[in-house]
Amino acid sequence: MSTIAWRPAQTLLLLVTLSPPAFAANTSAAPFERTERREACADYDEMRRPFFGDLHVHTALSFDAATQDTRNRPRDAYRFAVGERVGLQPYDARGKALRSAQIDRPLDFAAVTDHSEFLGEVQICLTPDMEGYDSLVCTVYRKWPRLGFILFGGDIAGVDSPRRFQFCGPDARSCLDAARGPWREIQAAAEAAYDRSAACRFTSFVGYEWTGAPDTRNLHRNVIFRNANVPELPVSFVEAPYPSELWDKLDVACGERVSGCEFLAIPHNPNLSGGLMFLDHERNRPPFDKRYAERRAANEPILEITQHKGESECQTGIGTTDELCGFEKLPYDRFGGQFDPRQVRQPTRTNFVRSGLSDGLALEERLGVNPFRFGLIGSTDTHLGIPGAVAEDRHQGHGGAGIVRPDGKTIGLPDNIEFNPGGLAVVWAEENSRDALFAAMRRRETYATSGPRMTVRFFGGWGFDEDLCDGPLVRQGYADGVPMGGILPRSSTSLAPRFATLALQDAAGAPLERIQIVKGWQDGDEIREKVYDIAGSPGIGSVDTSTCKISGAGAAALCSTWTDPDFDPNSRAYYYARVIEVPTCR
Amino acid sequence: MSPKVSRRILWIALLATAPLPMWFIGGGRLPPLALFQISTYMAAVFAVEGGPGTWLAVWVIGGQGLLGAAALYLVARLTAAAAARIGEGRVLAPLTGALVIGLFAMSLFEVYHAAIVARGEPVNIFGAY
Repeated sequence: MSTIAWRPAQTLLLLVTLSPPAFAANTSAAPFERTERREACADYDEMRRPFFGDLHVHTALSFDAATQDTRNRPRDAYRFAVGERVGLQPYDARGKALRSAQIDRPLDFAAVTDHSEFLGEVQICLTPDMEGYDSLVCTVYRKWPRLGFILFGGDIAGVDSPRRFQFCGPDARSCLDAARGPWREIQAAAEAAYDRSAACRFTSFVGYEWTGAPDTRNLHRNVIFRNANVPELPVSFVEAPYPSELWDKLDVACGERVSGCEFLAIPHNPNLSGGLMFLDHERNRPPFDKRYAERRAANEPILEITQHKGESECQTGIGTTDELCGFEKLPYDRFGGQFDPRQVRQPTRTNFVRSGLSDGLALEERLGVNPFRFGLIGSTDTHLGIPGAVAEDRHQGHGGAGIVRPDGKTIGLPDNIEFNPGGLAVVWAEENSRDALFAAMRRRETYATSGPRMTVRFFGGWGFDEDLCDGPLVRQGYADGVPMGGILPRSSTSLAPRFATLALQDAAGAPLERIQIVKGWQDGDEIREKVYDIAGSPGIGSVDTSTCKISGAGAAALCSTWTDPDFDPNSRAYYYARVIEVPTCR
Repeated sequence: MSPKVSRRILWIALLATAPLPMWFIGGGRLPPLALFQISTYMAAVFAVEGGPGTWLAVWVIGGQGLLGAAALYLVARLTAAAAARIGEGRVLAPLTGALVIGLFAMSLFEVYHAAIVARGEPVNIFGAY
């Protein structure tokens, strides 16, 4: 009998509504700009559809995945995403994979986001005829991969002042040159996987991960490019040790040097940031100014709130009494806590997204711009090259996944016990194309799931009918309000905003238990929060943990309009919806 | 053969083959000489590249090797002394030889494993080094 625990699958959405000062409504009526040549999608839908994907995927090109004997390359990752079976480590002496994986439902989109740091170094260390292959570092990397992981990840990407290894030569030229091969491979794989036909079955994005973690405190960002126009090389933590320098250097490498190049950066794992992710300054630097706030809001419109290394919404007992903030939490606040007992520290408030949403309101009061105005997504962060592998009953790990003997028997667990299978990114777009999805991410019309493919609509407006759930919810939601990720313009009346939320259960998942709205608002100098149950009710379903059978009266669909009973037109506020399934086995 | 020579031969054989437990960096069982080999490489990397993680690895791995070597010295000493008492020392040489052959024969089986070696899979002495 497997060990199982109560697990409320949830969906997280964000809608920010601001009162004074007034902002222009960020409505989604305007069509997106087309920046690439492709056939028009046959199933264009102006009312938009939810597309499910994974924007955080590592393959054998990543320095850490390679030390875990991951052999799937970017093309294999995309093959997996569209439904093909791929091999997984361990491999026998003839190179035959002794495990394999296949996704139960293909994804709509994905991005391979290998670590930009060491793309060239890994290439050199694993290619016998390259200069540097015989260096001490490469010898250790090949002979003792786990120590190689410490060398690369701990002493370069996990420090305050990153640098290159000596074997990279003057100005790191040989490593930068060696990085061109894998970078081209990433682009070629994305192009091969992208369906440019009218069927629009699958969209790939060129991307990479900027892997900055000073003192092992995670500040990682996944950089996603809008189309095939991308920089000559990725900008890594070594060249740009601060997020703002990443944007600056990408503005040059992407915006100025490559025509038609656009990017966005997606922070992830605030839970492992050692509290750095939502401070009002970059480490060792002065507090944000208005320009910084504008740039962060523009360059980082979405944030990955859940993945296999934990969930970052909030934590019960750390600035909140919300009972659902105990979901998939890690017991440490930075990467080092996983490997080194001396670095185990309890997470603090700024390890969590809710503090960012709240503090963003206060920063807006001070700067006039909210730097933490972001939408939410989930992803896996798989290091096996298997995007969207979120099925819990077939979870084979994402972090190299343990040790499996050649006879097929697993030693211990398939992954670190505190890890989970990760989540998915959901994007509301008119069609499944790069331009449509990228535009949706820019306007933050996205949500995160912890794996289930629920469909969730969330609109806010001033004039919604109370019985909107019985009427044209979507059409009126777009016409008279703003969708998730939107900003409500200031109302000319003192009426409270009304929110319409529609949730459909995953057809292959569990029924729904309830919908909640989480509100945070400014009350003088204080930030307050409150959680409202607006549809369904707690405890209507349960799971038999010995059989994993679900019982009770969960709902296939829930819809509700809700008016904020505590609305104060003079205070800034954010609202997001949380959809909870009945408990299932983990 | 004197007990001193027997002790030294046994100690070297034990250093090379005894699957001693190690605790840090994933744990496992490796001979002290394998740990010294790894920490020597890491020390060389540290000399060239620096890095706090590398330095820590040098000491954690090398330190465990030193502790294991000290423990095995005691084992070798006690064993050599006991062997010297059998048959008034006449069988010390063949006994020492038999023990050494036994240790190396054992090492041909997959009695070693460590997270830092061969991705944690059980290996014999050739995989351990």
